[in-house]
Amino acid sequence: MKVNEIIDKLHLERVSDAGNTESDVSGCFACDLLSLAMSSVEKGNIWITVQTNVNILAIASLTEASCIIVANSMSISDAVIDKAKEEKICLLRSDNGVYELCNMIGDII
Amino acid sequence: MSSFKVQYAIDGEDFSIAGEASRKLKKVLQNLGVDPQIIRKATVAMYEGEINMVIHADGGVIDIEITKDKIHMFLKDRGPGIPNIDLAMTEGYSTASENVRELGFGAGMGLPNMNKYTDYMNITTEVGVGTTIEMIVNITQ
Repeated sequence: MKVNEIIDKLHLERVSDAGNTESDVSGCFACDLLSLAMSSVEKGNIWITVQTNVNILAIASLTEASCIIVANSMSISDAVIDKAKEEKICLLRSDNGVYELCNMIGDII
Repeated sequence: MSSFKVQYAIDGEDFSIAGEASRKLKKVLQNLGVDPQIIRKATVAMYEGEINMVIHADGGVIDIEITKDKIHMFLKDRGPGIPNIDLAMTEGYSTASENVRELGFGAGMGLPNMNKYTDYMNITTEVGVGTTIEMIVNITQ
């Protein structure tokens, strides 16, 4: 399944869709500890978090995550949004919490 | 490839650019055609080291030498030093501030991750003087 399809099915907000939204999703990882995310997110994974500081972009870039989904409609600063666009990282947002997102994603991939 | 050397200065003032050096290393290794799994090991270890330098030591310098056999990293800082290395290597132990923890760091996984993702790691530290961490990731097993 491609990132674009996930966005449509889960009604995600495209905060920055500068990344390759036609890429295939390889799985999903949900965690707010950046060290754990860094060592656990696999290439092509969706990464779900409520962290919105700029360091999440470095994690997504280094792990080659297909996208970040920010859960619970957490606010994201303009600086982070601008940097996500600049770094071509697909940054998405949802009203749903982490548990709901994991369930929904688990049902469709 | 005989030997390729790079040096990155880590700015301890700016948390927002932490990880830049690791991203640059990743690009260098990709351009050199290094196996993606080896790149992942090196960049995870380097990122943890880079973050530690920003959180604890007000920055520092990272020297890297890449040969056909290994990626050799030296992370040097003039921070407070590590009083008890065994304690610092314990997963879950951290001296990071509450502010840093709120950003998702300071879970006490930095040094253990660096050790886990490298084939060799050695810490030289002196309280009040600074810390040097040497790490090697083998390219050929």
